[in-house]
Amino acid sequence: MEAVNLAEQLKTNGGETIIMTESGEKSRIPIRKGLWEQSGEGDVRLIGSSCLSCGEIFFPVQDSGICTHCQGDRLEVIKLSSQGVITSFSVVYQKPAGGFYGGPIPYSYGFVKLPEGVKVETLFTGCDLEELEVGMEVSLVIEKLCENAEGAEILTYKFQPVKIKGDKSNNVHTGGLNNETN
Amino acid sequence: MKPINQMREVVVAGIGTTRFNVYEDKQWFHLGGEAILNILKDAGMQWPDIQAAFCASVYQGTGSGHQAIKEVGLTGIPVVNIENACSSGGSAFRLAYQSVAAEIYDIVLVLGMEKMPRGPIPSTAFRPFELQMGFNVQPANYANETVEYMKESGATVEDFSLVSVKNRKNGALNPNARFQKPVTLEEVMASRMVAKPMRLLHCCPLADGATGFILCSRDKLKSASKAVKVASSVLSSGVYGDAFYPSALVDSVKFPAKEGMTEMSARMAYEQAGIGPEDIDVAQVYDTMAPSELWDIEKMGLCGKGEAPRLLREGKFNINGQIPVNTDGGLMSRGHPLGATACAQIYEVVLQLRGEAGPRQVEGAQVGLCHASGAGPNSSVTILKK
Ligand SMILES: [Zn+2]
Repeated sequence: MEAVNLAEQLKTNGGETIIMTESGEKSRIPIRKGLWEQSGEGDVRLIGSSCLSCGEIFFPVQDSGICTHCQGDRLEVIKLSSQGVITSFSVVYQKPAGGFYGGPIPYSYGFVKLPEGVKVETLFTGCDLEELEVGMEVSLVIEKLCENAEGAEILTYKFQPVKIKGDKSNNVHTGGLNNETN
Repeated sequence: MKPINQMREVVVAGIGTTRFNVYEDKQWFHLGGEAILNILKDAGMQWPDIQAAFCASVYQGTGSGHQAIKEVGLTGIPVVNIENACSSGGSAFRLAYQSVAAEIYDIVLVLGMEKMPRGPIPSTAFRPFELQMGFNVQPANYANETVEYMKESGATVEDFSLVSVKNRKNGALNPNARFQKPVTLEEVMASRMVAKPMRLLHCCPLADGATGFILCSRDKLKSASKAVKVASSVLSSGVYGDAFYPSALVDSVKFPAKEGMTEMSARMAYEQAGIGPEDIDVAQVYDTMAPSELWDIEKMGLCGKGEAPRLLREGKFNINGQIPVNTDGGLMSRGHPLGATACAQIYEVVLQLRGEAGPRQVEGAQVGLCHASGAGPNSSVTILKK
């Protein structure tokens, strides 16, 4: 399975990976190193920081190594839960200013609250954007965001509904890497 | 630390502005120069009277204030450039106010200006991966905050559409506004969806412009009748645990802020002025997106939490209401030249307190409040007294 192959390659080099496809070699690059980690089984988790002094949790990892709540410097890297609840979202219908975003339009982003209590700003995927709702249960996937100038795929984290309302079929994507329909 | 309200009294001696509009043939320094000449004329002062200049802009780059000052002439005075996103003008005003209150200078210039960039805007307000993921769409960031506000207050899309209607009605009375044509509720509700649930007419338009002031000690005034007192001028640049989506800041669930940034800036401003929200006769509250006026009215303490939508419908915030809000049409009508916006709010309040606001005059206005907030995050509040 491609997802497993990719996971192993990500594990071994921790970043850029080369995927063999029918059309030849394709490079896949995470949007930023250290946002997520994938186990050999394809289990994907966002990576955060936890403060050993006050217990605050951050996503992404605190680059400074300092807890911005208590200024303590004893932080540990933790794996965050891969399911959460949408607390708010918007659907964007026009290209963002600045030319930084190369993904599809319209697109949706908002905030997901994880069981740990931390809120994550994220893109949404895996359903008709009009079906998104506050309170919806969503799970983490790693997907293509766009291609860079060299044709490499830029991967990012997104959340998708665990189950679409009125749709009885199981919509859970296990590895997430097979869903690149956008 | 000496409280600033125990220092020397500071007054606004003169005000000046350009019309806010889209100028293809003018740069920010042309607009800034034009505003300076208007300010000097209004104050009855000469350029060599100015002892220091505090210039606010966001996108103009290095030495942007100097370029505007050069339009009038370099005189050896210090020129300082201030960038604090949408609170830039309020931040420049605050520094100018402090420098006169502390008796470092007697007469200073505040200038806010912006020619909004066309095309790609380099952004330092977000981290690179946030930009790449498209998290820098301010209507969408406000939309996220709006979704939460709607949940908490029960406000509807129609409620914040009525903010656009009110402000565009007021803007029709403001010859300096970019848009001087009212809009109907139906037009707002039918306008193009930009970032669900925000439609085009919920978003303030782009505009270029410049606005500024001369602040001085009372003994330096040329025209005592024009003087408006600076009762307070404060800035808060964020509080731990307080969500501010326009800056990609999420709230802390473990350690939520006891007092949010906006509420803190309001409290500090009231404390410094020695008054309370009940004393405010007219307010300019930050309406970069229509719903933000509602929650910021509440955060300024002008009404209770969740009450703004109902009071708006009852007309409390109309020009002839109990607490008129955004009497000049707000950002929704003026447009939003970032560095100039907070200055335009102060300009309107000075006009109101002088009784020079013409058809949009609030009867007997004695005390006015201005609030601007944005990326950083920042929240600036200025209170002026007749
Ligand atoms: Zn801590």
